Amino acid sequence: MSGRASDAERWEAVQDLLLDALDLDEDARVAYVAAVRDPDLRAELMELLDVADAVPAFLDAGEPRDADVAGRQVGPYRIVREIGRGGQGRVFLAERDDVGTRVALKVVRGGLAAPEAVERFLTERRVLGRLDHPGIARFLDAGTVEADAVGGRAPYVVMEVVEGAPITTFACDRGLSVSERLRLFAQACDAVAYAHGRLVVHRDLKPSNVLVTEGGEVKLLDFGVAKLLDADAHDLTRTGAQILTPAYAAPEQVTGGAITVATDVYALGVLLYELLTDARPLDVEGDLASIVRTVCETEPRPPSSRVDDGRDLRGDLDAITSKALAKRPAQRYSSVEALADDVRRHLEGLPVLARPPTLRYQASRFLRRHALGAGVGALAVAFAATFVWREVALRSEAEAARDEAQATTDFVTGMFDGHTDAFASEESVDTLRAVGLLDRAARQLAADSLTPPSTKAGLHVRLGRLFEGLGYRTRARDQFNVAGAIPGLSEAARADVNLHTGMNAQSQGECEYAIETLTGAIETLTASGANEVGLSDALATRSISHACIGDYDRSIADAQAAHALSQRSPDYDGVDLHTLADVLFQAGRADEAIDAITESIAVADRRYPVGHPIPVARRTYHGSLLLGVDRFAEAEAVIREAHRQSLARTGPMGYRTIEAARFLSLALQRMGQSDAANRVAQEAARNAAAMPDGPLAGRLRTQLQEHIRSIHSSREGSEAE
Amino acid sequence: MDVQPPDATYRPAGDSGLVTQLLREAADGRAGALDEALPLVYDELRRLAAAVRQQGTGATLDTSALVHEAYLRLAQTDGAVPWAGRQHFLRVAARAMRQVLVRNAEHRGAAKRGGGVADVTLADDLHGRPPTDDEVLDLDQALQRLDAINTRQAAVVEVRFFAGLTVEETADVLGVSAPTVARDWRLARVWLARELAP
Repeated sequence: MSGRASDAERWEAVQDLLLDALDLDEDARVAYVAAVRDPDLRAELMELLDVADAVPAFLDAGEPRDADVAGRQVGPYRIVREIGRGGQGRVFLAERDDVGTRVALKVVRGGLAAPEAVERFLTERRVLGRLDHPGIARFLDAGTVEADAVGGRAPYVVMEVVEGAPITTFACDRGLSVSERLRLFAQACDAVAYAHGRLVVHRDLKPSNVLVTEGGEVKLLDFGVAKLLDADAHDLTRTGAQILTPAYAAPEQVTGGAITVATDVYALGVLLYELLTDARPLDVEGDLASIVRTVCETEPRPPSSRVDDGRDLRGDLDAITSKALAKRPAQRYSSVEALADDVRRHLEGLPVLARPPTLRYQASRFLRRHALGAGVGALAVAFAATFVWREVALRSEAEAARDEAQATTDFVTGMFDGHTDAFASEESVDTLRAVGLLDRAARQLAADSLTPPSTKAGLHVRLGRLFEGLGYRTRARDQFNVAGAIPGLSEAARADVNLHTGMNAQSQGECEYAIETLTGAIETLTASGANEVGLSDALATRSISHACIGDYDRSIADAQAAHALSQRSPDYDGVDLHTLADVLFQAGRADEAIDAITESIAVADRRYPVGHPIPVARRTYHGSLLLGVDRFAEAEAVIREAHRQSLARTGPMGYRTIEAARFLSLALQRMGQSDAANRVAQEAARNAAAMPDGPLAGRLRTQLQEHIRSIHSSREGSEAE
Repeated sequence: MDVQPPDATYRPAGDSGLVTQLLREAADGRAGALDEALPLVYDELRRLAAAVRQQGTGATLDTSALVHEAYLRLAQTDGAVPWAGRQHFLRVAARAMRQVLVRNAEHRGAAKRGGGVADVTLADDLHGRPPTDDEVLDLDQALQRLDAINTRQAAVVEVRFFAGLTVEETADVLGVSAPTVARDWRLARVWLARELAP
């Protein structure tokens, strides 16, 4: 009897996998099976799939027949004709009746089983709807349609119609040169990087999804669709199920590992390889085991060895593809942007990061950039020119590094409109891009040995402040530490380093260490009297540090001193009053705190336009103080005003707008209006999800999630009573 | 659909009232009522098939038409088969139809040319081709094994294959949702394909 029982159990276990696999085409099935970890289950599944297409004809009933679909209605769309068929399903040209626009409509094979899978599918489509980039075919709509044949609901997605050719075909047909191909490739990378910045991974990049229009514009299809359609992949055995095309699948896709941006980096690596050589890096064929082995273990030959004349590819492009195609995700480019950067660096004749910075390499880069390499073979560079050019090259690299660090800080500082605080920025800062630039600037600055110590320290401090402004506190600290370790600093530079080290320590909650370093900086700055702004910053920060360890008297005294000092400046915006309010409130002196913040708002209102993040932040803070003393109605009014002003000026996705919404929801919750509170919080959470990524956005999202949970649990609590 | 309307040569069996009663009891939940109805329905189907045959058109009968015709006869004769009774009838009729086909095949295997047994095949519009006698017997055996590991899937195949019910009818008869039937059908086909593989 036990034999029967185990037959039944095996059959039970394999059913979901079998249904999924049946929906895939031949290639995708192989990869899908590979991703099943349990060997017995895998064997069973393989056995069943082997016979799945050989069902005796007399049993062959109940399968849908391909009817003529033209004219059929799918949601609000009417099908015009079929334009493609793939592993995921069929693609139709369709028309929206009411407006007459033509769209591409993809109906997916197989149904979504569970109702919650449909729900997740519909949630996910909102995220895709926000992808708005010229290089990405616009995602227009998604829904489900009754599919009688499968007895369930089949998902469909609607996208912009793109007239174009696969990037590889385009390149061949037009006989594009290597650099023309690289430029197209970099364009594709930009679109992918944009989507990554919005937390959308493609998962199925391949030439047929990377089209080039007649006018030479790259358009990516099916962004995020693989994930969307995998919305019901709830258990771990199915992690790898998203892989649809083995030739472009990364090792983690055939082994069921986590799918990340690195997965797209790999697929782009395959694409680049193919663009350069007209061949794929690996022969992904044969039975299942050999496919997994090939993808996970075989190192592709360098592109330069796959073409007749590999001179253009040898070196940089070999190195770039090899880095993109690394077996382990962590060894690939950390982002698609980094990959695109390297491709562009190669195009501009700059050293690429994929290659170790050997002297010979740097020298050859230098030669190339200065167009001296034209008549000089690579060997000649290595032997003859090295000695001559070595010093020039080194100096030039160092100068370039310093210039670039300077240019980057200027550029990023410019984005903040004079503030080092992203909180105060009115621009929606593309944090990831900014951080990428800063990281590169920091690396180059660190490698530079020719800049005088104090100047160099100053640049490190500036980089650190910019990191801090973007919310990257650990990176900021690294910069301050590097600056502090530089020997031979002037006293002013040392004080500056101490000031920022202290402010950073404070922001990380290391209050005692902050007091120690700040006290050093305050002594130096007081003695020199040259930097009043720095001194008041140091005092204000030390005030917070004192409050943090419960020393309120010193804390309040520092804040007052900072305010007195700052007031002398005509540009003063009342920031120290904000600090004063904060520490007064912590000291239990709520009324004085409310007075101080009210005064700081008045100062900020004279200094900034209505709705500027700084006065908005203070109003919100004012509201939170009122909440703290149970003056709910006043709090609500103040926060509502902050929200209204911020919304009007910076829009629903502004950091301060969302923050004000969070406090507004909090006020409503405290007033017992949990439905209204929930509505406000949910909308804020949606907006937060659409913000550009970065630690600030991350913090907001977490805070909102916690807040929404608390609304729900307090509701349940009150219902239980 | 080649089934001819049965004419006067067909008379409902005298015990069709008993079938109705058993169906009613099954609808009320009496265990065993359906098993008792089975031989009666089986006879009914054979008689019906034979009656159609006697018209001499040489028409092949399809199981689906037969089963539905038998039900209509039953309902007409005894006017008061409850709705649940219809579902139970179809369920039993599918089982009976299976037996008809299996015995048909066995019989022909034993006596080369069958005498007196209706030449029943499966509807062409639903199935790729009619099964051979050996295939019917193999399928019967495989279904018994499937029944041991997944009763519902075996039942889905039985009513869809032998009684020609649609997905919706099958769902009704088995008291499960249409998507479940569609899923079971897809899965069972693959499972059976493995069992029936040469």
